[in-house]
Order: sequence, then C-alpha cells, then structure tokens
Amino acid sequence: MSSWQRTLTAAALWLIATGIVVGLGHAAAVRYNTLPVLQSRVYWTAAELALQNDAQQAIEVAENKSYTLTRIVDAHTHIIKLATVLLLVALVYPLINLPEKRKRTLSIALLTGICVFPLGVVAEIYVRGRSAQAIAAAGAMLVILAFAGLIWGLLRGSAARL
Amino acid sequence: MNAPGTAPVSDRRSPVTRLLVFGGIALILSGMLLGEVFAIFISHAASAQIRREWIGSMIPAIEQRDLAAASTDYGRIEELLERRGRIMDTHSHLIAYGFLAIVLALLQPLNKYSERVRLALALCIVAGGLIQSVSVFVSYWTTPPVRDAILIASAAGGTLVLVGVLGTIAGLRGISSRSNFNAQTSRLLSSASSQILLRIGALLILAGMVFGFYYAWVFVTQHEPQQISLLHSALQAAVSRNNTAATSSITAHRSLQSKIAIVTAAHSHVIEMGTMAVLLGFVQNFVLLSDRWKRRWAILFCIGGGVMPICTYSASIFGLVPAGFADTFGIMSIIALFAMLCGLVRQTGADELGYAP
Repeated sequence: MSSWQRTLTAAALWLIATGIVVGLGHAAAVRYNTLPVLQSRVYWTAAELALQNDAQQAIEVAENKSYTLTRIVDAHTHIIKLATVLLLVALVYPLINLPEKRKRTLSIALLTGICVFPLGVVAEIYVRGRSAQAIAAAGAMLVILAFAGLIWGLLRGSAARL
Repeated sequence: MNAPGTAPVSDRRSPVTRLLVFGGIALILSGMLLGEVFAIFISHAASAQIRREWIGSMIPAIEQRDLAAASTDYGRIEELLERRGRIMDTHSHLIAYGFLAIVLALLQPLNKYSERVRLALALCIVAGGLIQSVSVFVSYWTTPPVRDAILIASAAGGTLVLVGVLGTIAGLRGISSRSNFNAQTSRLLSSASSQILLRIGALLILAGMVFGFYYAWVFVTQHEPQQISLLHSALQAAVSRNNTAATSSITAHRSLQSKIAIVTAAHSHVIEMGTMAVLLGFVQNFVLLSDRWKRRWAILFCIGGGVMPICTYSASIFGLVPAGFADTFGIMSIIALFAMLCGLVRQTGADELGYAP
C-alpha cells in the first residue's frame, strides 16, 4: 500500500470516527429520540401555540427546529457514507488506470469535498442564506466530479485487465 | 505482531477477517430484511393511519381548541412515528456497521497488531454494531426504567464501534509502503463476478451522488419551504374553523412528507446498494461457489440493487405499484446476498477441513 493510499485510508477512518462521535453526541442531546418523532414534536408545538392564537410564532419555531434537526442528521449520515466511499477508493487506488498525478489530484479533490460538504450542511444552521448552501453544494459537486474521474480510471483499468 | 502489509493471502482467511466478513454480511442481511419487512408490512399502513389521525382527530380538536383531546391524538401519532423511527434507525445502522466491518476486514493484512488484539477490535465492531442496532430496535417495546438501560446499551454499542475504528487507525499507523497488499487486492478483484460487482457498484454510487445533488436542490428550494407553508395553512385554517381548507392542507403536508421520505430513501438506497456491490466484489474470493454461479448471483444482486431504487423513486410519483416492484427487486438482492453468505460458510468449512481451493 502506497503512502498516499495510507493517507486516504487514515483520513477515511478518522472521518468515520468523527461521524460516529457526531451521531453519539446528537443522540444524547436529543435524549435518544428519533428524527420523525422530533420533527413531529416540532409540529405539535406549532399546533399548541396556534391554539393560543400565535400561529406565526408557532411556524417560526417549527421551521427553525425542523431545519436544524434535518441538517445535523444529514451531516452525521453523509460523513460516514462518504468516508466509506473514500475507503473503497483507497482500496482500489492501484487499479485506477490514470496518471499518478491526476489520480492524486482527484483523490485530494474527493477528500476535500467529503470534508467541505458536511461542514457546509452544518454551517447552514448558523448562517442562513445562500453562502452556506453554496459551500455545501460546492463540496458535493467536488465529490461528484472527483469520484466520476476516479471511476473513469477504474473502468479503464478493469477494461485493460479483461 | 504481523510483518506489516506482508501477510499472505491465507491471512485474509484468518479468524479476524472471517469474523468481520461473516459478521458484516450478516449485519447487512439483517438490516435489509428488516427494511423489507418495514416497507411491505408497516410503512404504508402507518402513513395512512397518521393521516387519518390528523384529519379525523387532530384538526377537529384544534378547531374546538380542545388541547386535551389534541394531546391524546398527538400521542397516538407519536407512537406510530416512534415505531417508524426506531425501525428505520435500526435498518440503516445495521447496514452501515456491516459495511464498516467488511471494509475493515479488507484492511486486516495491514494491521500491525497481534491476532488477539485484532480479534478484540473486530469484536468491538461487530458486537458493538449489533448491540447498538438491537438496542434501538428493542427500546420501542420497553418502558422506563428498562428503556433507559437499553438506550445506555445503545450508546455503549456505538462507543464500542468507535473504539474498534480508533484501534484500527492505531494498528494501521507506521505500516510499510513496500508490501504486496495491492497485488493481493488486484487478485481479490480479478474474477468475473468481482469485476461485475465493482463496475456496477461504482456506477450506482455515482448515480446516487448525482441524484442526491439534484434532490438537495429540490428539497432546499421547494420541498422544505412547502412543508412549513402547508403546516402554516393547516393551522391557520383550523384556528379559523375552516375544516375543508385545514384537511386539504394537512393532506398535502402528509403527502409531501411521504414524498420526501421516499425520494430520500431512493437516494440513499442507490448509494448503499452500490457500496454493497463494490464490497461484495472484494469478498468473492471468500465465496465457495463455482465461477458461473458467483457470476449469476452477482448479476442478480446488481439488477436488484439497480432497479430497486428506481422503483422506490417511482413510488413517489405513481404510488403503491412501483413500491411493490421495489420490494420485489429488494428481495432479489437479499436472495443473492444470502447465496453469497452460504458460499462464505462453505468456504469456512472447506478451510477448516483443509481442502479449500
């Protein structure tokens, strides 16, 4: 295993560990309630407030809480799933039939995207508006383009081996 | 300690690797079966019941400003959502831990720790994953204080998995660059069935990513604001005693929530089936079946894994018929996975009897 493969493997495992820590922390913070229940409670709170003739405040509370919960769970799942994909890339790295420099550039882009995307999703909680969404979208796009490039090399490699 | 990265191919059949591969596939299979049972027997009925509760009880209670009645109705809705949440969490976590176990099995030849330490770390991953997932599942049917103890067990399971991952990171530190690991990996992926699973799996992951990117845009710009605006309309209408408008808004709200859940499931299932296909590509060498049968199961798995998410997505547009097809194709993948698991068991037996190929 090359040193770059080792770096990718270690980075992926650290990301998985981070995702697990985020999941454990979030689960404890919400007292082990599940997302559908938490979101439903948000809507119930809105209904209760509406009964007290304050529908506008109710909606704002519901909107904020639902928005935050969705993003935390999204960040948790995406870190772990994308890190698993990164681990797979690290394993098949020698089979990717591309020049070493291009392979490395693509894998750096993939790693960067995998780190930026969940950070952008979490940033959306604190920075409302297009800027945080743009960061998340840029991270996701980086992941897609880099992974597409690596797959192209992998398919070329496997075609050459057959 | 092993000589890092120089473990022979036979090391891939060590007890640690076997535990991780066998445990990983068993976790994935359990997760998939649970998902199928949920999709076929629970999901649709529960969604319909939640809608009925909202329209038949919640809206009239809000109209009457009867907080006590509304609370009782809400309790029934939360009960249904609680069951859904626990089952879905168990389903997704079992599969994620299964993936992790198989990937870590592939990295075992590089781990510098002794077999005993690696076995302990592997147990942390498989047992931790199982404890966490089963605790989440069982917690629905328990009441405090048993429930509290079970939720602590769930956290302990997650922590065990974390220990397993951190231990593996430590075990991989300082490994030699000069090793035959890459040659072994190439050999593992050399069979026709491995190549089919690797190629289709990689393409499925990419398709899932592209679809996820598209849907994130739809969610942020349309579905998420729509959810809140429909809830707003429903509450306003209920407060002003406009039953028809409230019912119509809440029906639209429930439909949108179902659509979001279905489309999100389609996105995650494409990527998961792709990841699973690639991982199964790596373990084909552990499967003691003829090449022809390995190829057949690989093709069946890929067809099931590729078509199931398409049918799942179609269910968000066309309703229950494509959902039925999604269940059928999901079962196809489960059958293929079970066949591979049987091949793994045969390989283990052959290894122990000393006539493994």
